[in-house]
Amino acid sequence: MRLQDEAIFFERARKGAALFVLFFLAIFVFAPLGRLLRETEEVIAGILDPQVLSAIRVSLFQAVVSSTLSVVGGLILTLLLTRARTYEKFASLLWSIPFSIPTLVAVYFWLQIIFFLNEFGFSARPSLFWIITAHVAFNIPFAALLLTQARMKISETELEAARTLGAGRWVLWKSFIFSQMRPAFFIALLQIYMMCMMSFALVLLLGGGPPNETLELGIYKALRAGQLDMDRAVAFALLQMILIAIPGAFIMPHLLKKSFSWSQAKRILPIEGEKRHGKIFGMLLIFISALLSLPYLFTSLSGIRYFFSESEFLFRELLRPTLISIGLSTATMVVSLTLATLSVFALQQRSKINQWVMTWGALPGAISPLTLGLGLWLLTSDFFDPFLGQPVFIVLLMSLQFLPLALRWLWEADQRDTKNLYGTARVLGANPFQAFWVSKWISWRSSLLWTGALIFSASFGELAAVSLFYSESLVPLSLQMSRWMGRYAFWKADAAAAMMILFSLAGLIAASRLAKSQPWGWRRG
Amino acid sequence: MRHFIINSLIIFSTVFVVGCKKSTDPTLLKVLTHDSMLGEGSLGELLKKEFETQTGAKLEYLNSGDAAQMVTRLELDAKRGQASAHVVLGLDDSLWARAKPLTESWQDWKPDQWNATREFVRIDEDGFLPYDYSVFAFMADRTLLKKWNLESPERYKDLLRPEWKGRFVLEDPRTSTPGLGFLRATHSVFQGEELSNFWKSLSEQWWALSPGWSAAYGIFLKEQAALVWSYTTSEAYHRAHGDTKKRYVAVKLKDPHPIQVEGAAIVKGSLQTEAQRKWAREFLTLLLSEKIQNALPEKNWMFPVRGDVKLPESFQDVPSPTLLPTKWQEDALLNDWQKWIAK
Repeated sequence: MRLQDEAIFFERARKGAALFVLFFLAIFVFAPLGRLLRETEEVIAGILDPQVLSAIRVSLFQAVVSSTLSVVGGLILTLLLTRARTYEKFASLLWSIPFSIPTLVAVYFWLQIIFFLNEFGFSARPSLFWIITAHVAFNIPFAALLLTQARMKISETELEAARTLGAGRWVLWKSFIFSQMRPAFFIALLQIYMMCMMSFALVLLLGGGPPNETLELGIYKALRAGQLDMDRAVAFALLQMILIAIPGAFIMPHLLKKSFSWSQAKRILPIEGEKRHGKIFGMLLIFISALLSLPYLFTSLSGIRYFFSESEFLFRELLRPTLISIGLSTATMVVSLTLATLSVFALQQRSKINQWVMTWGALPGAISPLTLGLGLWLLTSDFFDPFLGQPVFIVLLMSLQFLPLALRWLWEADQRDTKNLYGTARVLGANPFQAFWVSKWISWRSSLLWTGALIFSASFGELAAVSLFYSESLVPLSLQMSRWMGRYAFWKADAAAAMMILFSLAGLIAASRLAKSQPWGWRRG
Repeated sequence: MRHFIINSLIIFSTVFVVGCKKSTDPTLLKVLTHDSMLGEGSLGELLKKEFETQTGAKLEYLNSGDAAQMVTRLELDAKRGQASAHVVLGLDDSLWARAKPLTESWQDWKPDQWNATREFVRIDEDGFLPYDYSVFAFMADRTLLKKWNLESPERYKDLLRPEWKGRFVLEDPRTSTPGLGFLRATHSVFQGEELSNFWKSLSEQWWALSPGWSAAYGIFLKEQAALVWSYTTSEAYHRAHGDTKKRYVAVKLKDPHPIQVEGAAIVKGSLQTEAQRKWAREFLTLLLSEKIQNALPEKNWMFPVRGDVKLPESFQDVPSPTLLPTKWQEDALLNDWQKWIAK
């Protein structure tokens, strides 16, 4: 193929990919949202409903408090890491563990804590306190990762110069360190706020029922629990979109543009004068990080014993939901990665249409799967019975939920410092595929493997999308586990949690064996 | 590019259509029911066996989750004009007002043994076939009562006492029929502001307001609460399962107790042939047969609706409290309740 023909072919292919992604998003994101927005009178009618007002208050309160405490906790860990002379890689590895923990497993851990406290006479019971505690503990490592990445980008030379000129610790912190970390601080704050607003399984199982109900839970209850109340569901969904969209509009473009890459970051040098007690701070850092990450693993892996002692249960009750989950998670991973790959392929060429791909591709991250699911429900319930079980909708909702994450990591992989190599290969006569293979594939392969493994793990524990479109013949492991937890059949939930963690870990171990770096850039070896 | 878009459309349409299978077997009776009627050793299993032996037709269950979801399913089916089942099994008196317009009138037909049923379970003379009932009540764990120095409550208002904080579990009346029963019971005892104040205070007291009975009972059996809102017949279950020391007992209050009547009905517009109507009616008749009514107490842990059925030994000590009437209207009450407990 001549160079000119080749260029035309690739230009067309990129345009095609962009149009496909936009077409997909238009059908499965904008059409459902548009259908919801047609019901705006429901919001006006529903906003004065005390139950809706109560859900707004609870949602906002728990999301604001949880995100603030999480980011403050993350900042403390970042400061500890700055003071520690060693262990930062180990700490960051511990912080990445909650990424691979299905939310349900974390919820299960906190329920066990409530029961444990109750047995010792502390009169603990599900409440708003436990919702916030679980959110904070689960999100501190995430905040710490984001903040440390930002801290690592601060120039040590600049800091050293300021120190030489007599800047004290407070001035250094205020004028140099925090001022440069501020964007990351607010991005972490807003992102965790959004995740807490959209939190479903955790609020459902740790809230103890009304009055601790959020807008997200309201959508679910209006649709799938008790009497079908479409008007109320729409009111909850639209209000939630408004409360998420405002900060979401700030955060999403930043998340895609800002590159928080460990590969670009440097090792933090301890500030002169802060070198003392570095080991103690290091130990403290590891202790807190382990406390925030490892208990979930230990609690859930304890259920493995039932695989041996209750093999009949394993085959009769656990096998089918596990197989369904494997199917749904694999499909989700494939759809998400395909969409993200096509988007990144399209984004390699700058054009107006591709800017839309970037913005639209990030949008599903700011919409709760239940809200999107409600839109799909309204659009399609005349043709498809949601109560018969709609696996395609479940996969779609989960894929869209994870699309921004996949898009961001694959985009970063594509942008790593390989342009020269790619250009050189092209000059030497390699076609674009060959040039891509020798220059970018290694970085792409790692990102595809890690992102795929994380999407697979997260889909395994996803409950919101599943809760809308399940049927009794389509009950995946997450839903079955939440039912067992709801019925307090704990040994069964134990076994389900162990199964979930085993699959998550298997995916991550496979990715770590095959990939050479993590999508957040922390390189092996 | 045009081909690409058209192909994508075809693929997506195909994938969606796959999720929309329909069965039109004329020898099949489809029965929509909820979780607790199904499974090994359940009443549903016995019914299927008896029905298929007696009629030669096939019976297939469609599981809808819980009773309220079952009615939602009927409503969606009616909206689409496509009934997915011929008979609905497991409706109760609280859902009947919603379900009645979606079910078929019996006209001049009445099942055999209709007159053998207790009068208070006949909540409607047309369309609703009652097959079992029970009385709602608190189940108490006497071991926990002793451990926490608690006395069984005598009236609903006793739950507001400080010593009961975090010691009992209730169900959400929006999603659970026992929960709705409890709301009805309090409505019969308290009036006006007294009722709203009772619920406002109660919302600070419970361990959890569970979405359903099974979750609430699980918390109770996990020894997290000394009381759970359940049925008097739960005591019979424990007695039959080896609780000879009477650790779990139903609490007879001085206030009236609500009851729950479960029934079945034929789905409107679902029957295509007279043979199907015959089978649907035979299925309803089977529910009142001696064999099923005798099996009911220790399968569903409810009372049979026929007064001439002898109860098993496990039911002998079940208390008989004062009962609330069965016919009532819950819509306004539920809306008010949501205001009372909002934060």
